Amino acid sequence: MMGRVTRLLQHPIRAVRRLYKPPSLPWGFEGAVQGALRPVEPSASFRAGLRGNLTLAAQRKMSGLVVEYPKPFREGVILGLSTGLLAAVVTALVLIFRSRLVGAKR
Amino acid sequence: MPEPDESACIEAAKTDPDVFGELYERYVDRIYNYIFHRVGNVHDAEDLTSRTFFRALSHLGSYQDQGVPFSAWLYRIAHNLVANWHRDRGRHHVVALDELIIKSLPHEHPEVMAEIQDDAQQLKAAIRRLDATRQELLVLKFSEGLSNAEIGSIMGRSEGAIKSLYHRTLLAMRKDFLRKGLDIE
Repeated sequence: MMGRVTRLLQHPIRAVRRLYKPPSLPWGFEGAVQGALRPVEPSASFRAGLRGNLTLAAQRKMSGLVVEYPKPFREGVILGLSTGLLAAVVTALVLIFRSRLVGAKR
Repeated sequence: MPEPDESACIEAAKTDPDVFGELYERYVDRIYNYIFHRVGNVHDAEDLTSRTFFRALSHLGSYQDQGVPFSAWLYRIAHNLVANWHRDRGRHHVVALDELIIKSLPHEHPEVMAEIQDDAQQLKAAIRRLDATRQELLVLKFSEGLSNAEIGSIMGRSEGAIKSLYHRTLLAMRKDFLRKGLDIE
């Protein structure tokens, strides 16, 4: 039954498909979009640096070590610790300097 | 399907770090370009490009030639990383278009160049308003110069579906333009 219905509908569907013409795009629009998405290249230093890191990682992998990209939180931890340490050193120096000034005044 | 020399190169790269370097040189520009247009800045583009190749290196052993080009495999990795990046930052619909420099042609009149740049700005804004899938399609099509079949293998859709989506995307952009009283011919 379904097959018969499908066969009956085949011709009208084909006819509609032939008659339907999708809206055409204006000439030049595609070119304009392409112009807005011009290709970009990475910097030479980045490219060379990454190549070096990958070669090193590949060598480590060949020797059975796990290859892992440094996680961002590690960078954050290092940056945080460095900033904290620097702040502590500066504070300590200021306190020492200040206490010496106060001592000298007395 | 990867080219014969590429298939051999991929197999060799599994055991030889230098050969992986050759594969990297072959694809780094394309992957960087794709990521740059999807994330919108150099810093994240460099970070995600690095991650893409590190992930490719660590999973290269499990890569098998199943009729899908190696480049499609790399794009899939990049695509997943970009999707995670957008999810983590809650930044959607961001395209690196503001940082693109429109190189002026030496023989073009300044007024013509100004008009071209204005059109490009309007187009960038229109692309930014598209959803992530359509943005990806346009980047792969125009910036990467891939065919509908190649885009389909990257985005997990048929060639016909890509063709249809592409046509609908451009029509939607055009409609968006006309609604704003703009026109590009």
